[in-house]
Formats: sequence, structure tokens, C-alpha cells
Amino acid sequence: MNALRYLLRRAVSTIPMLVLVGLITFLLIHITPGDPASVVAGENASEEAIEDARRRLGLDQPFLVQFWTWLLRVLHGDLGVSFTSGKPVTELIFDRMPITLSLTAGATLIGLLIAVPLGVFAATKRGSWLDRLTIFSTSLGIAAPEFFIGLLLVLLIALQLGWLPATGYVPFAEDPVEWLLRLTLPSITLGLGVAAELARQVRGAMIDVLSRDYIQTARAKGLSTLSIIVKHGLKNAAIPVVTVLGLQVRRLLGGTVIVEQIFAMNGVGSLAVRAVFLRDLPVLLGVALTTAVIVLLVNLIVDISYGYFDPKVRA
Amino acid sequence: MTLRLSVAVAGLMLLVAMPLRAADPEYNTNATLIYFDAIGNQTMDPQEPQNNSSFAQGPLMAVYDSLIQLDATGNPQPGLAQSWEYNKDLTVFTMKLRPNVVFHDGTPFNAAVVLKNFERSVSIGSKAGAATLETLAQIASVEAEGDGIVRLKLKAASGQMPYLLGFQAGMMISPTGFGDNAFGAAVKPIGTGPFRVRSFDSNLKTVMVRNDGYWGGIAGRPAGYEHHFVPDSRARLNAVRSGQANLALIEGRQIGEAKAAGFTVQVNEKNSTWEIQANFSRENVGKLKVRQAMMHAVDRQALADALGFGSSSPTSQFFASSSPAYVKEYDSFYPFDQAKAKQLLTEAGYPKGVDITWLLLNTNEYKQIGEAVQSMWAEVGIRIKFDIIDVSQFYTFRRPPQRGDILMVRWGGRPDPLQTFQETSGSTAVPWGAAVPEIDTLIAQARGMDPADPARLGVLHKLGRVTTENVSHISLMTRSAVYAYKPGCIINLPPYLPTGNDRTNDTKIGAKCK
Repeated sequence: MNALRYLLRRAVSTIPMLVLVGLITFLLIHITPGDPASVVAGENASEEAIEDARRRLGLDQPFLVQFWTWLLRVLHGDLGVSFTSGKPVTELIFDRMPITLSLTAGATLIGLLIAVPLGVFAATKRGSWLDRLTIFSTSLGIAAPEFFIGLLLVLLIALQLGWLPATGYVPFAEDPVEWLLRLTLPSITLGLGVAAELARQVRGAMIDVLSRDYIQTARAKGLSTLSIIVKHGLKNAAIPVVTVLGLQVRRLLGGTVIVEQIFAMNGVGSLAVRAVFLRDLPVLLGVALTTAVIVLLVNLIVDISYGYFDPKVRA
Repeated sequence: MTLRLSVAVAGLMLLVAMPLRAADPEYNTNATLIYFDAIGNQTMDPQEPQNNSSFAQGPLMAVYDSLIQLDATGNPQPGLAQSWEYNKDLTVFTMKLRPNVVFHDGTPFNAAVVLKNFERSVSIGSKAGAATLETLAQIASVEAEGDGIVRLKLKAASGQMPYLLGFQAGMMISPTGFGDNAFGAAVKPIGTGPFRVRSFDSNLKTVMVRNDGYWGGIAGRPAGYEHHFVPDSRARLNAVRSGQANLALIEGRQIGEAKAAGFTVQVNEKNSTWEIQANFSRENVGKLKVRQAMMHAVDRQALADALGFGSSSPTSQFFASSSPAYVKEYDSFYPFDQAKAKQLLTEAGYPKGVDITWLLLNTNEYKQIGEAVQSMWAEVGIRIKFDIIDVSQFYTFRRPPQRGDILMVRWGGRPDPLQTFQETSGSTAVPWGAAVPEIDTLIAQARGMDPADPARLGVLHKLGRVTTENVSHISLMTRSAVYAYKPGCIINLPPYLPTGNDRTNDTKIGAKCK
């Protein structure tokens, strides 16, 4: 019952946050130079056609009226219609979401697969040259921008060696093998940064946990190192790691904007980029709101997971 | 004897068969043309303003036939209208429609359908693109005579109908595609063209399959055609390199990379140029001698070499060298001559140089060219101050209170060369009027001539001379469409001058293409 009340309280507390996200996005678009009406009216449009488009789109209304109209629509579950394509924004986002989610999930998976063993290994061999190499390589991973990693991978793996395709996305339902092949390079591109951040956290947390008294006791009892790490170490080191992982979702969603361009994937990131260039206000607002909801949801899941990892939190 | 006869017959058969085999077109008709382009379509409605862009025509031309087709150099040819004629004073335009043509959904094409298409275009009103509005503005009424004749009564004499109907306004949609006068995204893309749409994703891709019942025949055409919008030029070239596409539009700076990777690079010069427009109402650029100084102070060859990477040529006019409207002589009017430029500035009353505000669009391409020209002009005393604007604000140049003294545009070409003069130099489109009254006179003269009249081209050439001499625009260099593909994979992709996009309707895939 307490947990349900907690969830409800958290859900309600996100509403002002989402309104704020909408308002800031609205404001940013309005102060950015550019005229959506002239984009919608098209090349060589007459003055009359531009003004007509402005009226049609409601852009001749005062800022607050436009925002209020949009907010009322959103409260009714309607994100509006794209200025340019004429399609419902919800449909546009849902069409592209599988691509972005596949990419984000792939990157998270790759991040975890690299970070956990690497961090644990570095923590158990603290001070060794392998530990120092881990610190160096994670620093490199954190510093290297996605576009640089992406281009290098494309050049080497796709174009030079021809092992994986360089561009595009194929839905899982259409061809699961091709889906996996097309996702691999973009996921690695996005996942390496996550792996670097996480590996450092895992290492730090594991060093801390491994120096605790109960671990010494476990060792004294004769438990194997593997058993100590898996049964006692990892679970207790998980809280800071999960916290950082939750924060990485924001980074991952932002990173998809770049990675989708490099690999010609038409996910939500590409949708946002095109909406910016075309001044497609409803699409931009829709993407911002959806992204905010995802980030808030992940944070909520992270908060809830604390209870699993640390019973004291539940109490 | 029987054996000898058999050998002789076999030999004869072989002889007969050999030339036939050699004549066999070497096309892979089971393959799909997958083209990664730099522009997409927001909707597949030809009348929608976004499709007014000269660079968004590729998939539209593949799906919709227009009443009149324009050949590669822009000459009107039979399309859905088999023939046409004007009355004597060019106020009535009569088309005889092609019989036995059906839309992709089986709907027969006839005069009633043409009428419905025009009715829909009118019903759209000012939401339609400029090309459609421009066409409709010239038409007083549309009448059908039986199934095969359509007559357009014009508001005034105009010889431009064959060109205008060869562009979006003449593209015919099946009435089931627009139902109750649907518009934009609500239109179902059903045409009579060589490809029919299987799926369409706004601004992403158009997946088409061959229309096996096409009235123009299907010989050699690929089984499918996918048009993908991929904004990143690296990704476009990478897609061809790793096999996700078989044709990509690349940038000039990628020519070396594509060639080094073993690809065929094809440069199609277009009726597309980098142009600087000047506001003649301004004191500085309003003076002819200042504009002439600007022309002389640009080293076009250096500009084309440095920024075109072999895909651009220096030019002082609007047209590609292969266009009938092009005249080589005009390109020699303003050679690079800094001394002459300084002298002209002094004569114009600016011995210490002149300050000019340049309204510059905020993209890398524009900035690169802008900065290069700025430094060339600085050497003769033309001091440029950039006023950077978003692409969507380009209209502020012409619209009161008219921002900036000059504006650079990427001119995409028009089906009729006369349209280019009308839209860039004529006083009906340019708010500060034509550079000299003679331009308007010549535009009116050409408009009142039948395109079939050879004298029309002479008037267009005269327009080219007058606009260049009076610097109604400062042309810098041509723009080309640059393609990369595996050797032998892409066949028949000639430069198509009427639009910014090349026409891929008849592009084929080589049989040996892997």
C-alpha cells in the first residue's frame, strides 16, 4: 500500500515537471529565429499564402494562448498534428520509437556487458597495470565523442572489413538477423561511452564493497572469490551503478540524435533534427515531452530498484 | 545427311540467335533501384507547397505522369496529353488525351479525371504550392469534350501552358486518391506513372514497385524503386559502399573519396546556380556600376575549383551549358578584373569602397561560399557585413521592410527558362522592379509566344543578355547533381534540366551489378 502511495505521489509530482518541459521547449522555439509559417507555405510562397499558413497553424495567436491550447490538447492525449507532414505527432513518434528504443537498449546492453566484468576485474586487481589500463581506456571512452567513434567503426568494420552494414535499420519483425546486424555498430557507438562511465562506477563501488568487514568474513569462511563477488559484492555495489545507469538514459537518448544521423537510422532522434530544421513545433514538443516521460519513468524504476538492492531503503 | 542438315540448322539458329542475344538489353529487371537522396517528400501530393521545391521531384515524377512531359532539356513532349494546340491568340489551349491509360488502382484516365484534378487544385486555394497557384492564376475555365479532349480557356494570352503542365500542376492523381478534395498527407499517391507506391513514410522513404501495365512500356525498368531521404552525405556514400543503396547523391568534396573507393562518379550539370540577388531600391547595389564592380571582383573559376571540386563551372547566367537558353558569350561579359572593379566603384561614387549588408542563410554551404566571396570583394573595397538568418527567413529579403542589400540563393531551375526570368528578374515577382524596363517588355513578349515558335528562344536569349548586362543577378557558379555508384550498376541517368532532381523514371540497373 505504501509502495502504491509512493508511486502515485511520484507520478503526480512529474506533472509540473512535464508542463515545465513543454513550456521551456515552447519558449526556446519561439525565441529561435525562423518562421514555421514560411516553411509550411513552401518555396516561393506569396505573402498571402504565408499569412494564411500562419492563421491555419494558430501561429498568429499570442504565445501564452498557443501554449495553453497545446497544453489542453496534451491533457486530452493529443500531441497535435505535424505542421509539415500533416500526420498526428503521436503516430510519428510511435512509428520511430522502436528504432530509438532498440538502439538505446542495445547500447545499454553493450555498456553493461563491457562495464561489469571490466569494473569488477579492475577492482579485484586494484593497482595492477590492468587496472591502470582500465582507468586509461575508460577515460578515453568518456572523452571520445559518439560521432568520432561511429565514423571510425563505419570506416573499419563496415567499409574496410565489410563485416557489418554501414547504414539503415530493418524492423525485428521483418528480419531478426538483419535487425541485429544493422543495430550492432550503432549500439557499440552509443554503448562505449556508457561502458566507460559504468566501468568506473563498478570499479569504485566494488573497491568500496570489497573492503567491508562482511567480505573479509566471507573470505575467512573460505568462500571463493567468484562467489564473494557474485553473491555479496555485486548486489551491494549495485546502488551507485544503477543510479549512474539511470542517468545514462538521458545521455543515450541525446546520443541517438547523432548516431541516427551517422547510420542513417530514422528514429526519434532524426525526427527531432528534421523538426528543428523545419520548425515543426508540434513534433518538437511531442519529442521533448516523450523523452522527458521516458527519463522520468527510468528514474522512477531506478528509485524502486533501490528497495530490491538495499532492504534498508524499503524500510 | 541428316546429321549434316542438323548441324547446318543448328548453325543457322546460332547465327540468328547471336545478334538477338547481343541486342538484349543488359539490365537487371528483378533488382530494386535504391537511391539515397539529400531531399525527401513530406507528402506525395504534387500540389502541396513542400513539393514545390525543384529538388523534391524525383519520386513524384516516378509515380505521377503529367499531362505534358518535358524532355531532358525541357522541351515539351507528349505525356498524358498525346497532342495539344493553341488557338491563334494563345487564349485557348486544347489537349487531346492519351487513350487506354489507367491509374495504378485501375481507374481509367480521361477528360473527366483531368477536370476533377483541376477542380481539386482550385479547391485547395492558397494552401497549394506556388507552381500550382501560378498555373491556376492563368486559367479562366476548364472544359471537357467527350472522354479525350480537354480545353483550357486562359485569362490572357500565354504560351507557357506546355511547361506549366509539365510540372506539378499537370501531374494527374486518380480521383480515388483525393476523394473529397483531400490535400497533403490525406492524398493517396495513385498516379499513372511507371512506378506505383507500396509504402510512403513522410520525409523518410518512398517504396515503389514497377507498374507493369505502364502505357510507356516497362522494358529494362527495375522491379522496384526506393527513394530514401538521408540528410548526412557521409551516410549516403557509406550506404553505397556497404551495399545498402545502389545510387547515392554525394557532395562535390566527396568525389575524390568515391573515386578512390572504385565507384563511378557521375556529374550531371543542372539549370541550378548559386545566385546573388540585389535589392535595387538600395542606394549602394541599386547602382549598376556597383553591381558590375561586384561581378568583376569575383574570381568565379577559383570559387568553382575550391568549392565545387570539379562539379561546378563558373557562370554569369542561370542556365547549364546544355540548356537551349544558355549563351556562351554572356559568360565573358564580366571577367575577373579587380582594377576594373575598383574603377567602376569610383565611377559609381565610392572611391573609398562601399558597405553592403549580405543576408546570409545559416548553413555551412552558404557560409563557405559567402566567406570566399566576401574576401574577394574586400580586395577591391566592397566591404560585406553578414546578417545571418535562418533558412526559413529568406523571404524577409523581399518582404517589407526588406532586410539586407543582397541575398544569395541556390537557384534550382524551372521547367520553362522564361519562368526563371519571371521569378528572378521580372517586376511581377521582384518587389523593387526589374533592373531595366526592357526585361519586363521581353518577358511579356516571350509569354505571348507559342513554345513551338523558334523565335521564342531568340527572345529568351535576348532576356539573358539584358539581365546579364544589367546585372539583375550576380551569378557565381553552376550546381550539379553528383552521383556515386558501382561501375556498371546505374544506366541511363542523364541530366534533367527542368527540375533540381534528375528524372529517374528510365534509370536502369546493369545486369552485372552485384
